[in-house]
Amino acid sequence: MGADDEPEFDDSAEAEPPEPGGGESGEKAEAKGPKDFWDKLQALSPFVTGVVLAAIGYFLTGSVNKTVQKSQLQFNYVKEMQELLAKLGDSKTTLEEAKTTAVALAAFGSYSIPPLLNEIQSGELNRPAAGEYGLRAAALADPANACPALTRVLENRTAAYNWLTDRAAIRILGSAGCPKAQPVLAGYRVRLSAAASSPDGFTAFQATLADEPTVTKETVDQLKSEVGKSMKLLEQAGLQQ
Amino acid sequence: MLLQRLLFLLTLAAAATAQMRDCPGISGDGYKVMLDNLSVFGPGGQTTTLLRDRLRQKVQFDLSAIQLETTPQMVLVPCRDRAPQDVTDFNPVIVDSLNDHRVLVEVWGQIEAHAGLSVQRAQLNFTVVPVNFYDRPVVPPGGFSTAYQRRIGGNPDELVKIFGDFSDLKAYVSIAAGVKSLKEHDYDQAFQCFCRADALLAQPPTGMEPAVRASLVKYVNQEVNNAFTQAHNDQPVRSSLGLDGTRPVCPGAL
Repeated sequence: MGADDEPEFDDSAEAEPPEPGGGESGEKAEAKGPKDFWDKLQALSPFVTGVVLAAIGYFLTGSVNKTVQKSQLQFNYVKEMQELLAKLGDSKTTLEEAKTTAVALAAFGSYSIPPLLNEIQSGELNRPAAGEYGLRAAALADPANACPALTRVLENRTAAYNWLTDRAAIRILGSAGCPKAQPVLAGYRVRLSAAASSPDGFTAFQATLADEPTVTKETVDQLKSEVGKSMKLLEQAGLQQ
Repeated sequence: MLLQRLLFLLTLAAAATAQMRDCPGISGDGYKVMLDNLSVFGPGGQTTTLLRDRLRQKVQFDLSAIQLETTPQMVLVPCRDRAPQDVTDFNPVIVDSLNDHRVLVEVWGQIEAHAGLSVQRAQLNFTVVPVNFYDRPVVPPGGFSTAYQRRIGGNPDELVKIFGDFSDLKAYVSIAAGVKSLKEHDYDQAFQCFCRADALLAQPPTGMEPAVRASLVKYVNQEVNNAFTQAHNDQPVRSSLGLDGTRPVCPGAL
């Protein structure tokens, strides 16, 4: 074997001298210098992230808890109202009993409005009267929720409600002194005038209400009279304020 | 003794709660005559129950006969759970509700039966809904009613016989239909109903007090005038009544 046979080694790496002033000793030198804003932020970031996450967690949990509690409350109310509604629906219940039950329902506040409206729609003798009685109690106790619900009844034109419900809404809007009801009642009065003035107007008005009980010209006269009374009550309430 | 009193109180309580119950079947369309359960006072027994059933059948039969001959048509609604005790049960809320459902007359009553006594009494009451609703002063203080009394020899059919053909019920139904038609702006129909009521009142009905009859005759005449005036003034409604400006005369009237 000669010198040519010896394997060739690339020893250039070994030949490189070490970097002067580089490596660990250089980093130490940088750390010792003044920290800028980004350095501080970098240092604080785990803490800030933790705080932000905790805050989001706290608010999310609170919100979810609130929603769960609200659903739970609604569920409990439905369960409790179920008994009262069953009593109202019983044909053996007298009017006085029905009225008492409706007022008990009204104690559930805004939750009681849909079932009480439904009672007025029932098509029986005692239940509509009791439903209106309860709805009046609910509106007097909580006008903020009841007044918009009742104005929506009068604005509806899809025959979702019967004329007894409309009449109850008109009466209660007046007696509860619902402040924003005046334009709605004025609009309703225009519809009634159209119904009274021509057979076509009457048919058009009839089509906006449920079939039972039948809408007659007596109904139109009654509703007109109730609108007049309620408008007067609202004017009085306005003057008082 | 104590037990008897307790039973009596319980019966009273049951009667009180049975008062103004709802009546399934009221929600349908059209004019209606409601027939309530007839309350029984006294120890009663089998004879009274039988009497009550016969009486109910008789009222039902006569109302069916009225339906055949009266315009407009009406529906008979039996209300088995409803038993008013007194005229005060018909407060404004209840009358309002009945009027909303186009009930013309609600028939209710009591039977007083005492075992061992030979005299049986029955009273039929008529709540003439549109009159109660619009013209309350026309209603006599005790309401419209007819009392029947008969000495019977153990046969309940004997009491049923004296109810005759219920001409007073026909008169009440005609008046109610007239008032309702007038309020619904059906002037021709109102006129026909009032004329019919006038004719029925002219042949004194079996159980009606003369003073009540006189008051109703006056009321019917006044309503005929109202029908004429309103028909004349109500432009959107086409009515043959008062077209020529003269007050019409009931057919058959002198």
